[in-house]
Amino acid sequence: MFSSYIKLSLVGLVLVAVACGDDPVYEFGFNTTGIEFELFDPTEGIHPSKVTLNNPRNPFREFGVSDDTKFAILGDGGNAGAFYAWATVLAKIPIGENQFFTAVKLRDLYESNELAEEDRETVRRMAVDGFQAVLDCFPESLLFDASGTVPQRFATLAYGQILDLGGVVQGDWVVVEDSLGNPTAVRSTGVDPLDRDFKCR
Amino acid sequence: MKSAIALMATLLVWPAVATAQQYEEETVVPTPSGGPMAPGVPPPPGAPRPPGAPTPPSDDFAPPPASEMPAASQRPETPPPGSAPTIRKTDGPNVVKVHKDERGYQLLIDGKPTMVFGMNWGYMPIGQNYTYDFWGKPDEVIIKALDAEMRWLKDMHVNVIRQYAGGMDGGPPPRWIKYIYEKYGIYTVLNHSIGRYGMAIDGVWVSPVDYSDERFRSLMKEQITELVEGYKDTPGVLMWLLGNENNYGLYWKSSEIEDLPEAKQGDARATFLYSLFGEVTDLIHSLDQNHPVSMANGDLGFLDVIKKECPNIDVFGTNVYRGMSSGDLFERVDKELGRPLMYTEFGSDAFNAKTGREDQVAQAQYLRSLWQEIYEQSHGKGRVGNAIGGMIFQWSDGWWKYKQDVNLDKHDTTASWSNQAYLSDWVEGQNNMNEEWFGIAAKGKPNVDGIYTVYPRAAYYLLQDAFTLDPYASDTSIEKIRQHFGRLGPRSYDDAESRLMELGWARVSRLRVDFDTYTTGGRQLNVPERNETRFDHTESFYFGVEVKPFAGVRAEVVVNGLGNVALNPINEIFYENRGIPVGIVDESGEVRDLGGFNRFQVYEASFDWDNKYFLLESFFRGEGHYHWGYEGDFFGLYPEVHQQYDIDIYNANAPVGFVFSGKDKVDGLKVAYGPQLWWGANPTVMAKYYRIFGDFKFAVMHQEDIAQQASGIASSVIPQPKSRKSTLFFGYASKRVTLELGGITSRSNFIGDPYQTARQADGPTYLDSGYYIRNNTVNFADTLGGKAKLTLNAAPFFWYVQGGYRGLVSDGGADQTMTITAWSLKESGQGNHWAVSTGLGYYAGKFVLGPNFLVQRPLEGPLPFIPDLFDSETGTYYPGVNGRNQLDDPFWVRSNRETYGFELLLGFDPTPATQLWAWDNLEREDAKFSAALDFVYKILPTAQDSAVAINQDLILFAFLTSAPARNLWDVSLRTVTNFTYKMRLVNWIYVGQGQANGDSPRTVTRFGTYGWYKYGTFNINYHLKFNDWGPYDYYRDFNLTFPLQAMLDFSYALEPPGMYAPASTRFGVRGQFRNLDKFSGRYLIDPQDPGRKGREWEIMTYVQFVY
Repeated sequence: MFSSYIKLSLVGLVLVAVACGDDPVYEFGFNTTGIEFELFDPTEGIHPSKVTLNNPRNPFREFGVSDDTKFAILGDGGNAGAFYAWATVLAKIPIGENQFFTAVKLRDLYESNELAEEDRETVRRMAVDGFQAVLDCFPESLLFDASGTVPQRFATLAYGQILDLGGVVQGDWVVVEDSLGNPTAVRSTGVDPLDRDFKCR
Repeated sequence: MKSAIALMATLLVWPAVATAQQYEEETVVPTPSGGPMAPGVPPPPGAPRPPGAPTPPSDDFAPPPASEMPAASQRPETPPPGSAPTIRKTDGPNVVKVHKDERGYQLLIDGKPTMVFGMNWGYMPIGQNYTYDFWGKPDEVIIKALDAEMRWLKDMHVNVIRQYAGGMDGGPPPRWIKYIYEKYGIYTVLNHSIGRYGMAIDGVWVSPVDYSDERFRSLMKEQITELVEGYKDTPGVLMWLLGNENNYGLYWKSSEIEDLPEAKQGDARATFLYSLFGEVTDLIHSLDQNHPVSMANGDLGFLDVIKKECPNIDVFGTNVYRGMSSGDLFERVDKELGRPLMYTEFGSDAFNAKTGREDQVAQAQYLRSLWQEIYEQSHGKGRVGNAIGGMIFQWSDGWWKYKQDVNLDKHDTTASWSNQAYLSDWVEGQNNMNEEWFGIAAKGKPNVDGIYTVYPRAAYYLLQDAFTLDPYASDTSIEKIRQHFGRLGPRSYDDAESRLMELGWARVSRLRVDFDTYTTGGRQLNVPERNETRFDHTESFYFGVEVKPFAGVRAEVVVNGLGNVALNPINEIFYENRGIPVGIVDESGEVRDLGGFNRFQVYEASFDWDNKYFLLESFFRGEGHYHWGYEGDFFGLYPEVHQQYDIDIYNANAPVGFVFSGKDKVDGLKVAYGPQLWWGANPTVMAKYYRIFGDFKFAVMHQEDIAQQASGIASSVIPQPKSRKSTLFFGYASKRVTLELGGITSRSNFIGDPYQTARQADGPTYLDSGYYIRNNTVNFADTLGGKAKLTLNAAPFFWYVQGGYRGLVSDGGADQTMTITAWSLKESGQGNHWAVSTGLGYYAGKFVLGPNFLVQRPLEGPLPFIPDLFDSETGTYYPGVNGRNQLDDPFWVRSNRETYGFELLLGFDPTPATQLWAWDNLEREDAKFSAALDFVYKILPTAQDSAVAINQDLILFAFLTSAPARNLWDVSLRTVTNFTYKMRLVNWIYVGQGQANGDSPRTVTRFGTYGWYKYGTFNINYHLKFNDWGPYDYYRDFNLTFPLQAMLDFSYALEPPGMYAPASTRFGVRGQFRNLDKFSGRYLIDPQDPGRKGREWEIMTYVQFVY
């Protein structure tokens, strides 16, 4: 009798368990240009935040966008779609390039009037913070041109973007001329701030 | 010269005279106490000697060095009494008889009444355990040890030692018994354990033994016959002794026994045991009429059965731990058995479990009281009269006794059993007997020969004085005995030289100083300065303090400090590299040195609290902990952590946490909690309740991760996703069959999480990949798993079969237990698979043969790699498909990949006592030569999901793909060769194929050898590897191989180096060399000669002091 109960319980448990499953859905891809930006968290897209991976509006959060594709999306994926794609890549691969272009897409969103009016100022600040994160966390990151040989420093570009957005550059950054006479952003004290680990991890 | 000749003549003449007197009469009839001496009775010690007879020397050998001698006030003023005989037969066996008259019993050795002032003596250096083969050492080592030890014993008036002998116990060869006897006058009791701790039957170790098994009984009689025939004519043999508390080991299972009512099973088993003792006794009597037969019973267990089944035993020997007095022991033995009584073990430990301190005084008090009782109960004192002596347990501390296989160089203070008779430190519900502290002498660390110094405790000196009273002198009365013992105050001896300092309230527990230099160079290395010859140095210091402020409480902290830290070691990951200076580039492009950080940090710390209700062990890096696989953790949730040196190089603060082990009413409960209980663990709490009910076992266990571990340390220990796991375990074990069943539910917090699966298909597929890609979510069934394992013992054949089904996320851990033998092919501990494995072990004497099979398939296979695609015209993004990984997915396919595996393990080990696959075999193997050959072939028809690794910025990332499907094979040969007792070579030879952890498609076929050679304190480590990965995880992650890697390390140490504890006081030099090619890291192709290999080399010198 006892063993019958056990058998019945086990069979029941398995049936219940199996019944809990959902039917699988086949993967077909999705359109990015129709995606609308919705403010989820003011740290989204700003390293070290990974909040974008929890944003249900972010269709890329489960995927790894490849290097080739992310630049294609940057140009043709729409501002919101491209932001989510780059923010996702940044959260998964935190490098200066990913931070810089995520901030660029925040800037584009702000400048393109795709936002609700009440969110515009927040997004502008997010863009500033994104560029500031380039300075704080990826000060040595380089942007290569098409030939791949002449680097530009993202820090210098980020410095200019902050100013263009009406922001104030935080820290001891200054713009000086390098040996070729080009402007370049450097730290005035030359010292890597000890709070970098704290800010960026 | 004349006086020397006279002395020699004296030495020769006196024994001859005395011998003639001793053999004058066969039967001795002692006189009543104080009465006139009967005719023909030899003069007792202390009686007037024949006129003109010289005084026999008490010690005809050189005394110990002054430093080892007791103070003059503590040395005996009179020569030894009947204890150490002045007459030594060297031409044949001693004739030992048991004499009985109306006044009691006496042991007569060559006609002379002799009380057994005996000692359980053994020679076991610190760091060794029961596998140590003292009698297998070279003669010069044995002589050194015996001369040091026996001199102490002789000075104490000990006249008997007990030695295990026969069968697998080996024991002292006859010539050493003769040596001890002739040089020190000390007899040997030869003790066959009669299978007490197991027995190899047909080459298979059986424990507990079945005393009803005719094969076993025959084997015992064969061994006893061999023992008696081999030793019976040896001068110095006193007695045969059977077993050691065998009545406490009557647990074997057989249908014959188990058919009986439970109440009768004990007696039935005892009947088999003691009937064997009886048969063996008769056998010995038939072979040898010169020595009596005794047994080492556990207290008075089964006296009635003994009387019935073993009626011809000559002496009833018993191990008794009854505190200050043995109570009715003598009366009961006399009344119920009618035999003389000899303690085969008795005494007290010298550690007070209440105060947590060494307690020499209490030990001396117990032994004084017990010896007074022996004297009073001996022949002719008017009491029972059946005490003929005893053998104290024991001579020197056994540092191996607690846990027996681990912490062998730690003088453990954990009390392992409770005995209310020892009131000086007994507390209800707590253990008070400290197994490692029973010596009446403490011992120091061994030198290169394994020779150590002993430090007698107060009990030694007290008994030295006590034994000056001749128990059989005509005037030795009860009153005199009481007066004599009454004068012996143990407190007057408590200034005995000992190791009290070690147990002080606080002590320096660790002092280590490392001075290293590195000279390095290379060519075609992509870091320019590495191509130059560079010199640098490292200094590293460790300082530790241990405190024991209260009973059962101990804490230790060890701090590491750095001097300079070398920048050039070719193995760039090492413990001290945290102190490497940090440089930054300033605006002018110059490098500024900020200096090294973290010059001082806590290296390790621990805190233990042992009391009535629990044992709390907390650790920070420390000694680690064992897994719970043998106590109900059927799914390997709690892994073992011991690889301290591997952890050191990564500077990981693991393990850190504590373990609570319940006692008393919460016995069986264990709780572990900590930020990183094992390397790579999430902050977690886990609890287990495990109980054994007869043949059945039961365990329930739960693990709850509290948070996700923030960062990884090494790619081999990437933190698992935060989760919770629960398991249930049932076990049943009979004599031949073991059945284990378990269920697991794991990662229920993953329910609802999405995952992808791939199905191969024809026709239109996703991005023309050949696969349909499906999105799904984890459900409850995916968290469930189960496992069943059946093991059969049909010695010499052993067989197991195991089957498991694990839902997608029902992850456990790797199986850390050993089944039958050391197969490496095991079912994965990950979820998402089903598996069946089976293996057969055949033990044919010295050889072991072990085929093993595994079939394992994931429920959902690995994902293929499909690049993502963005269609700019439609704005449609088609997500790519990558291998799953443990950072982003609820499950993945790695160790659970589809596998059809075969393994064949062959072993050769002539000395099964040191098991070939025991974890410490490399250190302990005592065979001249042993070998283990392992061949593994794996059919791997699919790839895996993606591995996770750590990049240069210490950031975790997942590869996009994995190494491809590929069948792999591996062969390894491990040999241990003991050329001499000082010279050992442990060597591995390997050849086989392997795949990278990462995404490299290149299969590596590698081969090489590595090992460890020891000669005394001289040590060589070496490796020679071809086409193999480098020393750290990342080499395999990124498939970085070197065409050649060579290393040779010579060192000379103060103490014999240990394989598992490489830090020691030593100096040495190490050379390393590597060739580099396009598959190696740091390699720079020479455009002028693209085929030219690079190289890097290092010469390291080191001086290391370790306390």
